[in-house]
Amino acid sequence: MRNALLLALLCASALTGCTTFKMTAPDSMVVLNEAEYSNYQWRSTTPDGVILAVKVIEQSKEEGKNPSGTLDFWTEAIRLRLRTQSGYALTEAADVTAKSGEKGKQLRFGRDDNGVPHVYWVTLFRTKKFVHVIEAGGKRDLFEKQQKAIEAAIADYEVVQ
Amino acid sequence: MNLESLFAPGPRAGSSGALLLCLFALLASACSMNRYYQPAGGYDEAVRSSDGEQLESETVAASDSGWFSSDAPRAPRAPQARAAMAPAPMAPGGVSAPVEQSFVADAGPTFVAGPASNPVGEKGGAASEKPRSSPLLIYTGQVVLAVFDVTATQDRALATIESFGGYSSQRNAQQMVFRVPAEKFREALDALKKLGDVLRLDWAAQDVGEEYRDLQIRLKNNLDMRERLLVMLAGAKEIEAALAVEEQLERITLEIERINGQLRSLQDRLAYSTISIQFSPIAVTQVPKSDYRLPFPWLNQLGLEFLMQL
Repeated sequence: MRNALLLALLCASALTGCTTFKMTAPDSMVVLNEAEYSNYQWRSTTPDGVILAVKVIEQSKEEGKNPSGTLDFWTEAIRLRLRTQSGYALTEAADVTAKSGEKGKQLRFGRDDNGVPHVYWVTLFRTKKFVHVIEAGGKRDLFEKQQKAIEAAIADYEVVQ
Repeated sequence: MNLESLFAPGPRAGSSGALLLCLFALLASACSMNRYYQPAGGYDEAVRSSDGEQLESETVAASDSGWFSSDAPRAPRAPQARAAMAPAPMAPGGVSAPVEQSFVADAGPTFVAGPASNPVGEKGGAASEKPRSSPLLIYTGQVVLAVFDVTATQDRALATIESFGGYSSQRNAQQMVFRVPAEKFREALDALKKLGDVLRLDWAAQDVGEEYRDLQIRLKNNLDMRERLLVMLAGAKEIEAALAVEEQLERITLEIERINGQLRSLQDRLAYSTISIQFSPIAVTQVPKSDYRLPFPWLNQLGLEFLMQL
Protein backbone atom coordinates (compact mmCIF):
# COMPACT_ATOMS: atom_id res chain seq x y z
CA MET A 1 0.00 0.00 0.00
CA ARG A 2 2.78 2.39 0.88
CA ASN A 3 4.50 1.58 -2.37
CA ALA A 4 1.33 2.45 -4.24
CA LEU A 5 1.06 5.76 -2.48
CA LEU A 6 4.69 6.59 -3.08
CA LEU A 7 4.37 5.67 -6.69
CA ALA A 8 1.37 7.93 -7.03
CA LEU A 9 3.26 10.80 -5.54
CA LEU A 10 6.26 10.13 -7.73
CA CYS A 11 4.21 9.96 -10.88
CA ALA A 12 2.37 13.12 -10.04
CA SER A 13 5.58 14.91 -9.20
CA ALA A 14 7.36 13.79 -12.31
CA LEU A 15 4.61 14.75 -14.71
CA THR A 16 3.42 17.99 -13.25
CA GLY A 17 6.59 19.25 -11.78
CA CYS A 18 5.21 19.23 -8.28
CA THR A 19 3.12 17.02 -6.04
CA THR A 20 -0.55 17.69 -6.74
CA PHE A 21 -2.43 14.77 -5.27
CA LYS A 22 -2.38 11.76 -3.05
CA MET A 23 -4.26 8.70 -4.18
CA THR A 24 -4.30 5.31 -2.53
CA ALA A 25 -5.21 2.27 -4.59
CA PRO A 26 -7.71 -0.14 -3.07
CA ASP A 27 -6.26 -3.43 -1.86
CA SER A 28 -7.88 -5.20 -4.77
CA MET A 29 -5.88 -3.15 -7.28
CA VAL A 30 -2.29 -2.70 -8.30
CA VAL A 31 -0.84 0.59 -9.42
CA LEU A 32 0.46 0.68 -12.96
CA ASN A 33 3.74 2.12 -13.97
CA GLU A 34 2.58 4.68 -16.45
CA ALA A 35 4.75 5.55 -19.41
CA GLU A 36 5.83 9.13 -19.92
CA TYR A 37 3.50 9.59 -22.83
CA SER A 38 0.53 8.21 -20.92
CA ASN A 39 -2.56 10.35 -20.53
CA TYR A 40 -2.66 9.46 -16.88
CA GLN A 41 -0.58 10.52 -13.95
CA TRP A 42 -1.75 7.57 -11.96
CA ARG A 43 -3.66 4.42 -12.76
CA SER A 44 -4.49 1.17 -11.02
CA THR A 45 -6.32 -1.94 -12.05
CA THR A 46 -7.96 -5.03 -10.64
CA PRO A 47 -7.03 -8.44 -12.06
CA ASP A 48 -10.18 -8.37 -14.17
CA GLY A 49 -9.70 -4.92 -15.67
CA VAL A 50 -11.60 -2.47 -13.50
CA ILE A 51 -9.56 0.71 -13.69
CA LEU A 52 -9.13 3.68 -11.39
CA ALA A 53 -7.05 6.56 -12.76
CA VAL A 54 -6.09 10.17 -12.16
CA LYS A 55 -5.30 12.97 -14.57
CA VAL A 56 -4.20 16.36 -13.38
CA ILE A 57 -4.46 19.07 -15.99
CA GLU A 58 -2.49 22.20 -15.38
CA GLN A 59 -4.70 24.98 -16.63
CA SER A 60 -2.11 27.55 -17.55
CA LYS A 61 -0.30 25.12 -19.85
CA GLU A 62 -3.22 23.25 -21.34
CA GLU A 63 -5.69 26.00 -21.90
CA GLY A 64 -3.35 28.81 -22.78
CA LYS A 65 -5.36 31.96 -22.95
CA ASN A 66 -8.37 30.57 -21.16
CA PRO A 67 -7.24 29.07 -17.91
CA SER A 68 -10.24 30.06 -15.85
CA GLY A 69 -12.77 27.27 -16.35
CA THR A 70 -14.81 26.76 -13.23
CA LEU A 71 -15.78 23.41 -11.80
CA ASP A 72 -19.23 23.81 -13.36
CA PHE A 73 -17.72 24.60 -16.72
CA TRP A 74 -15.60 21.46 -16.82
CA THR A 75 -18.41 19.34 -15.43
CA GLU A 76 -20.72 20.51 -18.19
CA ALA A 77 -18.02 20.15 -20.84
CA ILE A 78 -17.40 16.55 -19.83
CA ARG A 79 -21.09 15.78 -19.56
CA LEU A 80 -21.75 17.10 -23.06
CA ARG A 81 -18.67 15.49 -24.52
CA LEU A 82 -19.54 12.06 -23.23
CA ARG A 83 -23.29 12.24 -23.76
CA THR A 84 -23.52 13.80 -27.17
CA GLN A 85 -20.34 12.59 -28.78
CA SER A 86 -19.40 9.36 -27.13
CA GLY A 87 -22.68 7.60 -26.48
CA TYR A 88 -22.69 7.60 -22.71
CA ALA A 89 -25.84 7.89 -20.64
CA LEU A 90 -25.60 9.99 -17.52
CA THR A 91 -27.12 7.92 -14.77
CA GLU A 92 -26.26 10.04 -11.77
CA ALA A 93 -24.53 13.27 -10.80
CA ALA A 94 -23.51 14.14 -7.29
CA ASP A 95 -21.46 16.59 -5.27
CA VAL A 96 -18.37 15.09 -3.67
CA THR A 97 -15.71 16.31 -1.29
CA ALA A 98 -12.06 15.34 -1.32
CA LYS A 99 -10.37 14.29 1.87
CA SER A 100 -8.45 17.57 1.68
CA GLY A 101 -11.72 19.50 1.65
CA GLU A 102 -12.12 20.52 -2.00
CA LYS A 103 -15.65 20.40 -3.33
CA GLY A 104 -16.07 18.45 -6.53
CA LYS A 105 -18.53 16.82 -8.88
CA GLN A 106 -18.98 13.21 -9.78
CA LEU A 107 -20.69 12.11 -12.99
CA ARG A 108 -21.70 8.49 -13.33
CA PHE A 109 -22.21 7.22 -16.84
CA GLY A 110 -23.29 3.98 -18.40
CA ARG A 111 -22.59 2.62 -21.82
CA ASP A 112 -23.48 -0.55 -23.63
CA ASP A 113 -20.46 -1.75 -25.56
CA ASN A 114 -21.19 -4.63 -27.96
CA GLY A 115 -24.04 -5.72 -25.74
CA VAL A 116 -21.93 -5.61 -22.58
CA PRO A 117 -22.94 -2.93 -20.08
CA HIS A 118 -20.10 -0.81 -18.76
CA VAL A 119 -19.82 1.77 -16.01
CA TYR A 120 -17.73 4.89 -16.24
CA TRP A 121 -17.32 7.51 -13.51
CA VAL A 122 -15.63 10.87 -13.79
CA THR A 123 -14.89 12.85 -10.64
CA LEU A 124 -13.65 16.43 -10.85
CA PHE A 125 -11.90 18.72 -8.42
CA ARG A 126 -10.91 22.24 -9.43
CA THR A 127 -8.08 24.07 -7.76
CA LYS A 128 -6.55 27.37 -8.62
CA LYS A 129 -4.09 25.92 -11.12
CA PHE A 130 -5.33 22.41 -11.82
CA VAL A 131 -8.27 20.33 -12.81
CA HIS A 132 -8.13 16.95 -11.10
CA VAL A 133 -9.90 14.25 -13.06
CA ILE A 134 -10.43 10.88 -11.42
CA GLU A 135 -11.78 8.24 -13.76
CA ALA A 136 -13.07 4.80 -12.89
CA GLY A 137 -14.61 2.23 -15.16
CA GLY A 138 -15.07 -1.32 -16.25
CA LYS A 139 -17.63 -3.96 -17.06
CA ARG A 140 -20.65 -3.30 -14.93
CA ASP A 141 -20.82 -6.62 -13.08
CA LEU A 142 -17.12 -6.45 -12.25
CA PHE A 143 -17.27 -2.76 -11.43
CA GLU A 144 -20.13 -3.24 -8.99
CA LYS A 145 -18.01 -5.65 -6.97
CA GLN A 146 -15.37 -2.92 -6.64
CA GLN A 147 -17.76 -0.03 -6.20
CA LYS A 148 -17.38 0.42 -2.46
CA ALA A 149 -13.58 0.24 -2.67
CA ILE A 150 -13.54 2.76 -5.50
CA GLU A 151 -15.86 5.10 -3.64
CA ALA A 152 -13.61 4.85 -0.61
CA ALA A 153 -10.51 5.56 -2.69
CA ILE A 154 -12.11 8.65 -4.23
CA ALA A 155 -13.29 9.85 -0.83
CA ASP A 156 -9.70 9.45 0.36
CA TYR A 157 -8.30 11.51 -2.52
CA GLU A 158 -6.21 14.44 -1.38
CA VAL A 159 -5.35 17.54 -3.35
CA VAL A 160 -1.87 18.75 -2.46
CA GLN A 161 -1.53 22.47 -2.94
CA MET B 1 -96.99 0.40 -9.20
CA ASN B 2 -100.45 -0.97 -9.12
CA LEU B 3 -101.01 -2.80 -12.39
CA GLU B 4 -104.62 -3.52 -11.59
CA SER B 5 -105.36 0.14 -11.45
CA LEU B 6 -103.65 0.64 -14.77
CA PHE B 7 -105.70 -2.03 -16.49
CA ALA B 8 -108.93 -1.30 -14.70
CA PRO B 9 -111.68 0.00 -17.04
CA GLY B 10 -113.27 3.30 -16.27
CA PRO B 11 -113.92 6.81 -17.50
CA ARG B 12 -110.24 7.63 -17.91
CA ALA B 13 -109.91 8.44 -21.59
CA GLY B 14 -109.63 12.08 -20.82
CA SER B 15 -107.07 11.64 -18.11
CA SER B 16 -104.92 9.48 -20.44
CA GLY B 17 -104.73 12.27 -22.96
CA ALA B 18 -103.87 14.73 -20.27
CA LEU B 19 -101.18 12.42 -18.97
CA LEU B 20 -99.59 12.10 -22.40
CA LEU B 21 -99.71 15.85 -22.83
CA CYS B 22 -98.10 16.23 -19.45
CA LEU B 23 -95.42 13.69 -20.34
CA PHE B 24 -94.70 15.50 -23.55
CA ALA B 25 -94.44 18.77 -21.67
CA LEU B 26 -92.13 17.18 -19.14
CA LEU B 27 -89.80 15.86 -21.83
CA ALA B 28 -89.82 19.15 -23.67
CA SER B 29 -88.91 20.84 -20.43
CA ALA B 30 -86.10 18.35 -19.85
CA CYS B 31 -84.69 18.97 -23.31
CA SER B 32 -84.93 22.65 -22.67
CA MET B 33 -83.05 22.29 -19.38
CA ASN B 34 -80.36 20.17 -20.95
CA ARG B 35 -79.83 22.79 -23.58
CA TYR B 36 -79.80 25.40 -20.92
CA TYR B 37 -76.94 23.66 -19.14
CA GLN B 38 -74.77 23.22 -22.17
CA PRO B 39 -71.44 24.98 -21.74
CA ALA B 40 -72.50 27.70 -24.12
CA GLY B 41 -74.77 30.67 -23.69
CA GLY B 42 -76.33 31.47 -20.37
CA TYR B 43 -75.01 28.34 -18.71
CA ASP B 44 -71.44 29.32 -19.13
CA GLU B 45 -71.70 32.41 -17.01
CA ALA B 46 -73.83 30.71 -14.42
CA VAL B 47 -71.38 27.89 -13.89
CA ARG B 48 -68.27 29.99 -13.97
CA SER B 49 -69.72 32.38 -11.49
CA SER B 50 -68.90 31.66 -7.91
CA ASP B 51 -72.33 32.92 -6.98
CA GLY B 52 -74.38 29.89 -6.10
CA GLU B 53 -77.53 32.00 -5.81
CA GLN B 54 -77.40 32.86 -9.46
CA LEU B 55 -77.26 29.23 -10.44
CA GLU B 56 -80.01 28.40 -8.04
CA SER B 57 -82.34 31.04 -9.37
CA GLU B 58 -81.69 29.95 -12.94
CA THR B 59 -82.42 26.35 -12.03
CA VAL B 60 -85.64 27.22 -10.31
CA ALA B 61 -86.70 29.35 -13.24
CA ALA B 62 -86.23 26.39 -15.52
CA SER B 63 -88.29 24.21 -13.22
CA ASP B 64 -91.05 26.77 -12.84
CA SER B 65 -91.60 27.28 -16.48
CA GLY B 66 -95.22 26.27 -16.13
CA TRP B 67 -94.90 22.94 -17.90
CA PHE B 68 -95.52 20.87 -14.83
CA SER B 69 -98.80 20.38 -13.14
CA SER B 70 -99.01 21.67 -9.63
CA ASP B 71 -99.12 18.07 -8.39
CA ALA B 72 -95.73 17.20 -9.80
CA PRO B 73 -92.97 17.22 -7.22
CA ARG B 74 -90.57 20.09 -7.63
CA ALA B 75 -86.86 19.80 -7.55
CA PRO B 76 -85.45 20.56 -4.15
CA ARG B 77 -83.95 23.99 -4.47
CA ALA B 78 -81.25 25.62 -2.49
CA PRO B 79 -79.27 22.73 -1.01
CA GLN B 80 -79.16 20.77 -4.22
CA ALA B 81 -78.33 23.75 -6.34
CA ARG B 82 -75.45 24.55 -4.07
CA ALA B 83 -74.37 20.96 -4.04
CA ALA B 84 -74.14 21.18 -7.78
CA MET B 85 -71.58 23.91 -7.38
CA ALA B 86 -69.55 22.00 -4.82
CA PRO B 87 -66.12 20.66 -5.78
CA ALA B 88 -65.57 17.09 -6.77
CA PRO B 89 -67.00 14.63 -4.30
CA MET B 90 -63.85 12.85 -3.35
CA ALA B 91 -63.83 11.23 0.01
CA PRO B 92 -60.69 11.66 2.09
CA GLY B 93 -58.00 9.31 1.07
CA GLY B 94 -58.96 9.50 -2.56
CA VAL B 95 -62.00 7.24 -2.32
CA SER B 96 -64.83 8.54 -4.39
CA ALA B 97 -68.09 9.24 -2.71
CA PRO B 98 -71.23 8.12 -4.51
CA VAL B 99 -72.31 10.91 -6.77
CA GLU B 100 -76.00 10.56 -6.17
CA GLN B 101 -75.38 10.81 -2.49
CA SER B 102 -74.17 14.35 -2.91
CA PHE B 103 -77.59 15.34 -4.17
CA VAL B 104 -79.76 13.21 -1.98
CA ALA B 105 -78.21 14.21 1.32
CA ASP B 106 -78.63 17.89 1.98
CA ALA B 107 -75.75 18.16 4.38
CA GLY B 108 -73.58 16.12 2.06
CA PRO B 109 -70.62 13.99 2.92
CA THR B 110 -67.21 15.48 3.56
CA PHE B 111 -65.59 15.95 0.23
CA VAL B 112 -62.06 16.57 -0.90
CA ALA B 113 -61.65 18.33 -4.19
CA GLY B 114 -59.09 16.08 -5.76
CA PRO B 115 -55.59 17.47 -5.73
CA ALA B 116 -56.72 20.84 -4.47
CA SER B 117 -58.03 19.09 -1.35
CA ASN B 118 -60.73 21.55 -0.48
CA PRO B 119 -62.99 20.05 2.10
CA VAL B 120 -66.61 20.96 1.61
CA GLY B 121 -69.52 20.63 3.91
CA GLU B 122 -67.48 20.37 7.05
CA LYS B 123 -69.07 23.39 8.66
CA GLY B 124 -72.77 23.03 8.92
CA GLY B 125 -73.45 21.33 5.62
CA ALA B 126 -74.19 22.60 2.16
CA ALA B 127 -76.82 25.11 3.18
CA SER B 128 -74.37 27.22 5.15
CA GLU B 129 -71.27 26.81 3.01
CA LYS B 130 -70.12 29.51 0.66
CA PRO B 131 -70.08 28.66 -3.00
CA ARG B 132 -66.58 28.27 -4.33
CA SER B 133 -65.00 27.92 -7.73
CA SER B 134 -61.75 26.23 -6.82
CA PRO B 135 -60.18 24.44 -9.77
CA LEU B 136 -60.38 20.68 -10.05
CA LEU B 137 -57.07 19.73 -11.56
CA ILE B 138 -56.13 16.57 -13.36
CA TYR B 139 -52.36 16.25 -13.48
CA THR B 140 -50.54 14.42 -16.23
CA GLY B 141 -46.83 14.17 -16.87
CA GLN B 142 -44.65 12.76 -19.62
CA VAL B 143 -40.97 12.07 -19.18
CA VAL B 144 -38.44 10.80 -21.67
CA LEU B 145 -35.49 9.28 -19.86
CA ALA B 146 -32.25 8.14 -21.40
CA VAL B 147 -31.19 5.20 -19.33
CA PHE B 148 -28.40 2.77 -19.27
CA ASP B 149 -30.29 -0.36 -18.30
CA VAL B 150 -33.98 -0.17 -19.15
CA THR B 151 -35.24 -3.18 -17.22
CA ALA B 152 -33.43 -2.30 -14.01
CA THR B 153 -34.53 1.32 -14.28
CA GLN B 154 -38.13 0.28 -14.84
CA ASP B 155 -37.99 -1.81 -11.68
CA ARG B 156 -36.60 1.15 -9.77
CA ALA B 157 -39.29 3.41 -11.21
CA LEU B 158 -42.00 1.01 -10.13
CA ALA B 159 -40.56 0.78 -6.63
CA THR B 160 -40.41 4.56 -6.48
CA ILE B 161 -44.03 4.94 -7.53
CA GLU B 162 -45.19 2.27 -5.11
CA SER B 163 -43.45 4.10 -2.30
CA PHE B 164 -45.77 7.03 -3.06
CA GLY B 165 -48.85 4.82 -2.96
CA GLY B 166 -49.14 4.59 -6.73
CA TYR B 167 -49.11 1.75 -9.19
CA SER B 168 -48.19 0.92 -12.76
CA SER B 169 -51.05 0.67 -15.21
CA GLN B 170 -48.95 -0.24 -18.22
CA ARG B 171 -45.48 -1.58 -18.84
CA ASN B 172 -43.62 -2.58 -21.94
CA ALA B 173 -40.02 -2.53 -23.08
CA GLN B 174 -40.05 1.16 -23.91
CA GLN B 175 -42.70 2.70 -21.73
CA MET B 176 -44.38 2.63 -18.37
CA VAL B 177 -47.52 4.42 -17.28
CA PHE B 178 -47.98 5.15 -13.62
CA ARG B 179 -50.92 6.29 -11.54
CA VAL B 180 -49.96 8.15 -8.42
CA PRO B 181 -52.08 9.92 -5.80
CA ALA B 182 -52.58 13.47 -7.03
CA GLU B 183 -51.10 15.04 -3.93
CA LYS B 184 -47.87 13.10 -4.55
CA PHE B 185 -47.64 14.01 -8.23
CA ARG B 186 -44.78 16.50 -8.13
CA GLU B 187 -42.88 14.57 -5.51
CA ALA B 188 -43.13 11.42 -7.62
CA LEU B 189 -42.13 13.25 -10.77
CA ASP B 190 -39.04 14.65 -9.06
CA ALA B 191 -38.08 11.20 -7.84
CA LEU B 192 -38.54 9.65 -11.27
CA LYS B 193 -36.39 12.32 -12.89
CA LYS B 194 -33.44 11.07 -10.87
CA LEU B 195 -33.58 7.64 -12.43
CA GLY B 196 -31.88 8.67 -15.64
CA ASP B 197 -30.91 11.39 -18.00
CA VAL B 198 -33.97 13.53 -18.60
CA LEU B 199 -34.26 14.24 -22.31
CA ARG B 200 -37.73 15.71 -22.10
CA LEU B 201 -40.20 16.56 -19.39
CA ASP B 202 -43.75 17.82 -19.86
CA TRP B 203 -46.52 18.10 -17.37
CA ALA B 204 -49.93 19.68 -17.40
CA ALA B 205 -52.75 20.46 -15.03
CA GLN B 206 -56.15 20.37 -16.66
CA ASP B 207 -58.97 22.14 -14.88
CA VAL B 208 -62.11 20.01 -15.18
CA GLY B 209 -64.14 22.04 -12.71
CA GLU B 210 -66.63 23.22 -15.31
CA GLU B 211 -67.02 19.80 -16.82
CA TYR B 212 -67.50 18.30 -13.37
CA ARG B 213 -70.11 20.82 -12.31
CA ASP B 214 -71.86 20.49 -15.65
CA LEU B 215 -72.13 16.74 -15.14
CA GLN B 216 -73.40 17.21 -11.63
CA ILE B 217 -76.09 19.61 -12.79
CA ARG B 218 -77.13 17.27 -15.56
CA LEU B 219 -77.24 14.40 -13.10
CA LYS B 220 -79.40 16.38 -10.73
CA ASN B 221 -81.81 17.33 -13.50
CA ASN B 222 -82.10 13.75 -14.63
CA LEU B 223 -82.65 12.51 -11.09
CA ASP B 224 -85.38 15.09 -10.63
CA MET B 225 -86.86 14.05 -13.94
CA ARG B 226 -86.84 10.41 -12.94
CA GLU B 227 -88.57 11.24 -9.71
CA ARG B 228 -91.32 13.09 -11.56
CA LEU B 229 -91.70 10.29 -14.05
CA LEU B 230 -92.06 7.79 -11.23
CA VAL B 231 -94.84 9.88 -9.75
CA MET B 232 -96.49 10.10 -13.14
CA LEU B 233 -96.16 6.38 -13.62
CA ALA B 234 -97.80 5.73 -10.30
CA GLY B 235 -100.68 7.91 -11.32
CA ALA B 236 -101.04 6.56 -14.86
CA LYS B 237 -104.48 5.14 -15.51
CA GLU B 238 -103.99 3.78 -19.02
CA ILE B 239 -101.57 1.18 -20.33
CA GLU B 240 -100.58 3.39 -23.24
CA ALA B 241 -99.68 6.23 -20.95
CA ALA B 242 -97.83 3.95 -18.54
CA LEU B 243 -95.78 2.46 -21.36
CA ALA B 244 -94.89 5.90 -22.64
CA VAL B 245 -93.73 6.95 -19.18
CA GLU B 246 -91.76 3.75 -18.73
CA GLU B 247 -90.03 4.31 -22.03
CA GLN B 248 -88.92 7.72 -20.91
CA LEU B 249 -87.94 6.34 -17.51
CA GLU B 250 -85.65 3.87 -19.21
CA ARG B 251 -84.07 6.58 -21.28
CA ILE B 252 -83.54 8.80 -18.24
CA THR B 253 -82.10 5.89 -16.25
CA LEU B 254 -79.58 5.15 -18.98
CA GLU B 255 -78.60 8.80 -19.09
CA ILE B 256 -78.12 8.82 -15.30
CA GLU B 257 -75.88 5.77 -15.53
CA ARG B 258 -73.88 7.35 -18.32
CA ILE B 259 -73.36 10.57 -16.35
CA ASN B 260 -72.43 8.61 -13.24
CA GLY B 261 -69.83 6.76 -15.30
CA GLN B 262 -68.37 10.02 -16.54
CA LEU B 263 -68.27 11.40 -13.01
CA ARG B 264 -66.54 8.28 -11.71
CA SER B 265 -63.97 8.55 -14.49
CA LEU B 266 -63.32 12.19 -13.62
CA GLN B 267 -63.04 11.37 -9.93
CA ASP B 268 -60.52 8.67 -10.67
CA ARG B 269 -58.41 10.99 -12.79
CA LEU B 270 -58.65 13.69 -10.14
CA ALA B 271 -57.57 11.35 -7.37
CA TYR B 272 -54.76 9.69 -9.30
CA SER B 273 -52.43 11.57 -11.60
CA THR B 274 -50.92 9.88 -14.61
CA ILE B 275 -47.21 9.84 -15.34
CA SER B 276 -45.91 8.27 -18.53
CA ILE B 277 -42.23 7.49 -18.84
CA GLN B 278 -40.57 6.61 -22.08
CA PHE B 279 -37.28 4.85 -21.57
CA SER B 280 -34.72 5.50 -24.21
CA PRO B 281 -31.67 3.25 -24.12
CA ILE B 282 -28.72 5.10 -25.52
CA ALA B 283 -26.62 3.24 -28.01
CA VAL B 284 -23.56 4.65 -29.69
CA THR B 285 -25.20 4.63 -33.08
CA GLN B 286 -28.19 6.57 -31.76
CA VAL B 287 -26.21 9.36 -30.23
CA PRO B 288 -26.39 12.45 -32.38
CA LYS B 289 -22.95 13.52 -33.39
CA SER B 290 -22.06 17.06 -32.62
CA ASP B 291 -19.75 19.00 -34.88
CA TYR B 292 -18.10 21.06 -32.23
CA ARG B 293 -15.11 19.96 -30.26
CA LEU B 294 -13.64 22.02 -27.50
CA PRO B 295 -9.95 22.68 -28.06
CA PHE B 296 -8.86 20.80 -24.96
CA PRO B 297 -7.15 17.58 -25.94
CA TRP B 298 -7.60 15.95 -22.56
CA LEU B 299 -11.37 16.26 -22.88
CA ASN B 300 -11.25 14.21 -26.05
CA GLN B 301 -9.26 11.55 -24.29
CA LEU B 302 -11.94 10.77 -21.75
CA GLY B 303 -13.78 7.51 -21.96
CA LEU B 304 -13.53 3.83 -21.35
CA GLU B 305 -11.58 3.20 -24.53
CA PHE B 306 -8.70 5.27 -23.15
CA LEU B 307 -9.10 4.31 -19.53
CA MET B 308 -9.12 0.57 -20.18
CA GLN B 309 -6.29 0.56 -22.69
CA LEU B 310 -3.49 -0.88 -20.62
